This record gives sequence, C-alpha cells and structure tokens, in this order.
Amino acid sequence: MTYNTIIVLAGACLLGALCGAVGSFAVLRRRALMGDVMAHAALPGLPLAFLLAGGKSLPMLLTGAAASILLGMGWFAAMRYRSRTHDDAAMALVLASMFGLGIVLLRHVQNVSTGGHAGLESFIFGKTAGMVASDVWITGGVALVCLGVIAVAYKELRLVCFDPGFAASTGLRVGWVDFLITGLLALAVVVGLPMVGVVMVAALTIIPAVAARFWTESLGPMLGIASVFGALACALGVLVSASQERMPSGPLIVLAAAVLFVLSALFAPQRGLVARRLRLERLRHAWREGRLEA
Amino acid sequence: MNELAIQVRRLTVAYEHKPVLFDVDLDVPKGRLMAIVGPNGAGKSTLVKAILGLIPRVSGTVSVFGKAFSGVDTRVGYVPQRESVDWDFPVSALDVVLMGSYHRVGWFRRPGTRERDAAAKALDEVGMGEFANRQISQLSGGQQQRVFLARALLQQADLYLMDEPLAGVDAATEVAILELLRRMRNEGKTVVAVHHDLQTVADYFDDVALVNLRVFGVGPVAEVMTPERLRQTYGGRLGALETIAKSATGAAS
Amino acid sequence: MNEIHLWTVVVAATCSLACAWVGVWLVLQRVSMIGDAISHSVLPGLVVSFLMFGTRAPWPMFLGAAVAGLATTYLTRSIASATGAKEDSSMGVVFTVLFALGVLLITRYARQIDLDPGCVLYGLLEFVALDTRPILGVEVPRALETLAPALALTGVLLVLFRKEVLVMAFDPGLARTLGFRPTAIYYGLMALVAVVTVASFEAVGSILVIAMLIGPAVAANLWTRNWRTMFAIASLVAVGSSVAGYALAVATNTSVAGMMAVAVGVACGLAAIFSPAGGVLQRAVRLRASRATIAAEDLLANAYRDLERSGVTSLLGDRGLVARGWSDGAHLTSEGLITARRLVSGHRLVETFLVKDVGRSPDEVHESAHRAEHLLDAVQRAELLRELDSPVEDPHGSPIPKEPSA
Repeated sequence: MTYNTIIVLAGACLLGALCGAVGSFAVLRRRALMGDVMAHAALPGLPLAFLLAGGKSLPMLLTGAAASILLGMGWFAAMRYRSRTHDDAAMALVLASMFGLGIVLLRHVQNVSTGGHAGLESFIFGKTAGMVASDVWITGGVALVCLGVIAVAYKELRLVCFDPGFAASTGLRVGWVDFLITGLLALAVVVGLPMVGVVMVAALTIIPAVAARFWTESLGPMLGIASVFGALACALGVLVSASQERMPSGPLIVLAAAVLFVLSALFAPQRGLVARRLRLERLRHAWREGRLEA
Repeated sequence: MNELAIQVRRLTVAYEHKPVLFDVDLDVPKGRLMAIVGPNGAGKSTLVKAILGLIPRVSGTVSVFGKAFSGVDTRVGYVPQRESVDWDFPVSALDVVLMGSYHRVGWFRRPGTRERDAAAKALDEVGMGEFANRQISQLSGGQQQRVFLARALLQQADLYLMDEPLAGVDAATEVAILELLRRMRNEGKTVVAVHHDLQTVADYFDDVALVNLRVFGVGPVAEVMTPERLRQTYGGRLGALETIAKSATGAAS
Repeated sequence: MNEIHLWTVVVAATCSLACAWVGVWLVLQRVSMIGDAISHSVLPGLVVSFLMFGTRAPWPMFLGAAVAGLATTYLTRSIASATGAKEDSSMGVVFTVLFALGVLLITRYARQIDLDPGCVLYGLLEFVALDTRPILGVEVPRALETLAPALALTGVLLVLFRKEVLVMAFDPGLARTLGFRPTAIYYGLMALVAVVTVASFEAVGSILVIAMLIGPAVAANLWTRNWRTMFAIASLVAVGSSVAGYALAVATNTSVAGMMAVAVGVACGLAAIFSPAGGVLQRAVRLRASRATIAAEDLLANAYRDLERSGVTSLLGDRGLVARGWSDGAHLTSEGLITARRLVSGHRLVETFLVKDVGRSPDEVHESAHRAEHLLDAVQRAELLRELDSPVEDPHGSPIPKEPSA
C-alpha cells in the first residue's frame, strides 16, 4: 500500500465513522434526507468563499459551505414553522433553490475570475483520491468535536430521538436539541463534501445509520454500529478503487454501504427479514396446530 | 338465502410477531346497529380494517354479503378515524362529501349538478349546510366528523363500517350522529361502529361485539353484556363493569 | 423578441408546467422528496439503456429512465413496508445507491458513453434553441418533440383521473371502498413523475426539475385553500419563474436553469410573506387588529365595573334594561353597555368554572379569565351557564350579569 492510499484510507474511514454516527440522529428524528438537503445547500458557499478569499483555501471554502448550509436551514425553518409548508416540501424547495443559486454563482465565478477557480465543481462529485494529510487532520478534528458534543448532550439526544413527546413534557427544549443535531450533521456534510461529493456524502449520512437500526433498539450501540459500518464501507470502497482501473471511490463506497444495508435488512436477529419471516411461519404453524396461546 | 352482512371466520391478524386478532369469528346480521367494544389496543380498529381488506391477514376468511370484499366494495361505506386523514388538505367540506359519489359518477367525468345537490342535501342532513364551502381545517372536530358522516350518506352503501365515529365530539354532535345511525338502520342498512364508551352502548346500539384479541361475545346488547363476559374482555380491571352490565340488561328488558 | 430567447423560454415553460402539475399532487401527498430521488436515480437507467441499445435516441433513453424512476418508488415503498424502516430512510438508501451505480457505470464505460453527469444536473437549456428542426416551415427546438407530448400527456391524464387521484391522496381507505385501486393510482402518478422528469431533464437538468416539481405547488398551497385554484396558481408561478429566471440569467450572464430554480425559491418566499391565506404579513395585521379589539374590550369592561361600583347597574338589575351611565366622564352607549355586560359575564363565568370545576384557588383565576373573556362566544357562555347551574355570583362575590336578551 502506498503512502497516498493510507492517507486516503484513513481520511475516508474517519469520514465514514463520523457520518454514520451523526446520521443516526437524523434517521431517528425522521429527517434522514436532511443530509442530502444540506449537501445541496452548501454549494453557493463555495464560489462566494472563493470570491471573498480570492483563492481556493480549503478552510475558507469549508467555512463558506457551512455558512451556506446554515442559511439554507434557516430558510427551511422559516418555511416549515412560519408558513403552512410541510417538512418534505420545504426540504425539496430549499435543496433545489439553493443548489440553483450555487450553479448561478459558480458560473459567475467562471466568468469573472482570471483562473484558479477550476476544481470548485469537483465539490459536486468529490475527489476522494485527491485527499492529502491535512484533510485527514481536519476530518479527525471535526470528528472529535462531534464526539465531544454527542458525549456531553447524550442524555438529551437520546430522549429526543426516542420519545420527543416525553422529552418536551419534561421541559426539555426539543427545538434546541434538533438544532444541535442539525449542526452536527452540517459539520459532517461540510467535511465530506470535498472528499466524496454531494450525493455520496448524503448517502453516507443515511445508509450506515439505517443499516445499524436493524441490529439494535438502543442509541449507544446504534451509534457504534453505524460508525463501524460507515468506516467499513469507506475502507472497502477505497481499497477496491485503488486496485482497479477506472473505478471511482465515491460510488464504490456507497455501493459497499448498500451491501452492508442489504445484509442487515436480511439477517439482523430481531428486525431482519429472515427473522421476521421465521416468526410469522412459527405463528402460522402454531395456529394450525391449535396451540397458540396469545 | 343469506341473512348476514358480514361473516368472519377464524380471522387472525398479526403486526410484527404479535397477534392483534386471534381466531376471531364474527357474524353481523343485516339491518342491525352494532358496536365493537373493547379496551384500548384490543384490535377493534384492526378488525374493521381487516374486514375492509386494508391490512393483510395471517389466516381466516371474511365475506361481506356472502362474497369476498373486492366483489362488493361499492356496497360498503367506510368512515375512518378522524385522525387518519390530513385535515390541512386544500378541499372544502362539500368537496369531501362529493367524494362519496365518485364511484357512481363514472370514469373521466366530473360530479354533475345532481351529485352536488345530493352532497349539499347530505350536508344539510348533518346540520352542516352553512359550512359547505369552508376549508376542512377550519372546522371543529365534531364538524369534521359530521362531514365524514355526510360523505357516508352520499355513498349510499348497504353496510357502513365506522371507526370511532363518536370519539372526541361534542354532546350535540353525538346526538346528531346517533340519530343518523338509527335512521340508516331503519332504512335497512347495517352499521358497525367501533365504540369506546361502555356506558352508552346499551342506549345507543342494538348489538354489541366484545373484542379483545378474540371475540368474547356477539349479539343483542342485553344478552352479551354480562358481568362475566365483560370481565373476560376487560380482564377484570374495571370495577364499574357490573353496574354497567346490570343497566344494560335492565335497559333492554 | 429574439427567436432564440423566445424558444428557450418556451422550452423552459413547457417542462415547468408539466412539472408543476404533477408536483401539486406530490406536495399534497407530502412526498415531495420523491422528485429529488427520481431525478437522481434516472442516471443508471439512462446509462443501462444506452449500453443496451447503443444509441442516444430519445425513446430508448426515455424507457430506461422511466424504468429507473418507477423502480425508485417501488423499492422505496417495498423496503419500507418489508423492513419497517421509515419511508424517508429507505428513499435515501435507494436513490443514492442507484445514483452511485450510474456514476460508476459512466466512469467505467466512459469511452463508449457520451454522457456527462454535470449535464444531467444543469441541462443544456442554453443550447436547446440552437438544435432545431423544421415543423410546418417553422424551426422548432428538438427538445419540444419530447416535452410537448409529455406536457399534453400530463394535462390529459391529470384531468381525466382527477377524482381518483384526489381520493387516493386524501383518503386511501375511502378510495378502496369506492372500488378504486389506491396503489395502482399511486404508481400511475409516480410513473407520470418519472416520465415528466425524464422528458424535462435533458433540456433543463435535474435541479430545475426538482425546483419546478415542488416550488410552484408550495407557492400555490400557500396562496389558496382550494385544490382547483392551486393548479392555476402553480401554472402561473411555473411560467412566471421561467420567464423571470431567463431574463435575469441573460442580464447577468449566468446559468439559466440555476437562475430559474432561484426564481422559484423567491416566488415561494414571496408567497409565504404576502399570501392572503395566512401569509406572514396578513397574520401580523390580524394580530394587531385583534390586539386593538382586546384593548378596546378591556376599556369597556373596566367602564362597566366602574358603573357597577357606583351602583348604577343594580338599578338596571336583571331585567335587561339598558340605560346610559357615566364613567370617568366618558359616555357609555347602549351598545357599549351590552358588549361590556357580555365581557364581564364571560369573565366571571370562567372564574366560577375554574374555581368550582377545575379546583383552582380564587386568587389565581383572574389572569386566565381575563384572556378567555375575549374568546368566548354566546353559545359557549350559555353552555358555561348551564354547566354551572346558572350561578349568580363569581368566586369573588361579584354578581354575574345576565346575558342581555336580543
């Protein structure tokens, strides 16, 4: 394995673990597609940051993306809570309009700048193989921050994810906890964007978390399993990509995650399809024999 | 010759791995007003939905007017629980009632003057005539339930299945709805309603089915509402059961 | 007007309209994100059909994409129902995986395929007016050859089946007892979404498709509470944002599809603020008006209490007599007196109710009653009166004025 592959592998695994853990909260709060909306809403921030900073410094670009996501989420919240628009419609609207704005600004940058803007568009599809050591440090730092926040607010997060009604009745501000979840998700999306691109980072916040949900009923194990799944999918994707010609790692990571999802959906002990089917057959059998005691 | 509106045989329905209804037999004679009664989570709504074929069953058969449901679907009217639809939907009360005529209007055609008049009349009959053009989210709970009832009237079905038509409505609406149910019964229709209030079963209904996972008794209220059967159904939890049963027997005799 | 401008706007407006019409039903059924999902997951459909038929001719591509679109909705629903996962989760899994598959195939077979994922996103709206062919002597953009039929199909189907779709969207249980097949209608609608998406996105790109599916419907839903009117408003918004977006894009020399998507978003924001059916402005105005009413009613009620203290009201007694009285030099008209009696009666009834039936202490009920007195109508006051067995005094010992007879 070359040094470069190790860097990419480390960065991708960190990212996968981060997205898996943070995505779990979004999936449990029935906002699974929020990561997708954020990934699209980040786009206008890139050309703006480029224009303001006058160059492609990664920290500036990421800050721009984060600010742009925050703006999109503010718009989402305004539509959702200050007008008669439902969750799903507000999400789709913010996603499309913010992305449209991003394309408009990108084109503008191409028109006005004398050069050096090339590669901004790579954020849309991502460039895993182009990862350098500093990316790994950034991802690791963000992952640590997120982990710290999760540890501090664990009790509240768990309550809101599994019983928001009860959480509200204990006087907990559910809105603030949701805001926290949104912030964590935004962080994960921002660091993931340059590595794997818009759609793939969305996939990373959804698929490992949904797959992990099959294995457990409690939050702690779910976070662990989702992180492991995320890291595993990224490792598989990167390794296969490195060993094959013309196999981009982004899509391979998602497909690896999909394999984990299918295995979980089929073979998880309680909620898996096979287990459910067996239970149903046992029930039918017992019924036929007339010894079902309810 | 078939005198039964609904015949359920050995019906078992399971969510996940837990049976919700187990080995249920139920006969509903034509032209009766029947309450389905049981504790919370007893499978009352599930029974109604299983009869309508809205949820899959593990085993058993359901026949409506002697046939499989899909053959007689238009002879059946369904009044769902109020919470089951999106009241923010941009339709007026009249629009909702008109839906009850859609199966008679025919493909590709829109409801004509005849249907609109009938819908307006149905709204009048439930005392909602003046709210015809009101968007449905601007109606109170009782008014929303009346709109559902008006829609059922327009459907002109022979059998009505209603899920908690009296839940969460004001006293005036309760009386109005009840009069309507009785009138339907007197016109020869069969009405089966999930009901939550044991106190009023004897006053409101002809027949009762006691349901809690299984059926603990079906038939005329006075015969079925015995202390023993109620105790079986409610697991002996309610202290007031005996008095209710006595008043039921008394009211019928 | 320049012919190129005209044709570009016509193409954009055609697919915006088709998107807006099916989009109204997506928004009403609260499945808006399905537009996002389908427009991403058509990619592998395009690639596979290209590899199978070896051509970029519209019809094979159309078929491949439509199959992929339908597969997305079918897999989303069946994974959700088979595994008990939430529908948004399973949708997120399905479309991202299909998209990844598409990107992988494109990269893998890049030499054979002349498809650019970027073009899938932004479309080629800037160039559609250049690729024309003569129809009846007029040079018409090729893109309209698929878009115009798609628009016509959408319009005709949605008009013909509006009853069925309406019932399916509002109350699937009813649809079943009416003898309709709600599942079949749902998939029919989703097939239409797929067709519209596929027909549109080569010209305008998937981002504009998502924006036009959802934006016009959201704006229309904010503006009216009638589903028929929604279609008219959604059409207006779709065409309006196409024109405005194009004009802005040309003026600032930027992406046309992107600017149209922005225009739709702005239209929704405007609708949320200025809508006559619950817009931010309207609610603010109403709030001010009701505050003014409450302040005026408080003044009246206090004037009545002053009269009461001076003993004038006991002369009026319960006989419903109306006289004029003085309070702090102000003149209370007979109409004002009636309103004041209503308010004070409501206030004291609520206090009595809170103390007698709810069990609160007499010292803490004033605030609640003070708020409630403005909200009670005649029927509710009468009901309270009955419920409390027509009390004569409130818990503080003040007389409860009789409702003046009309």
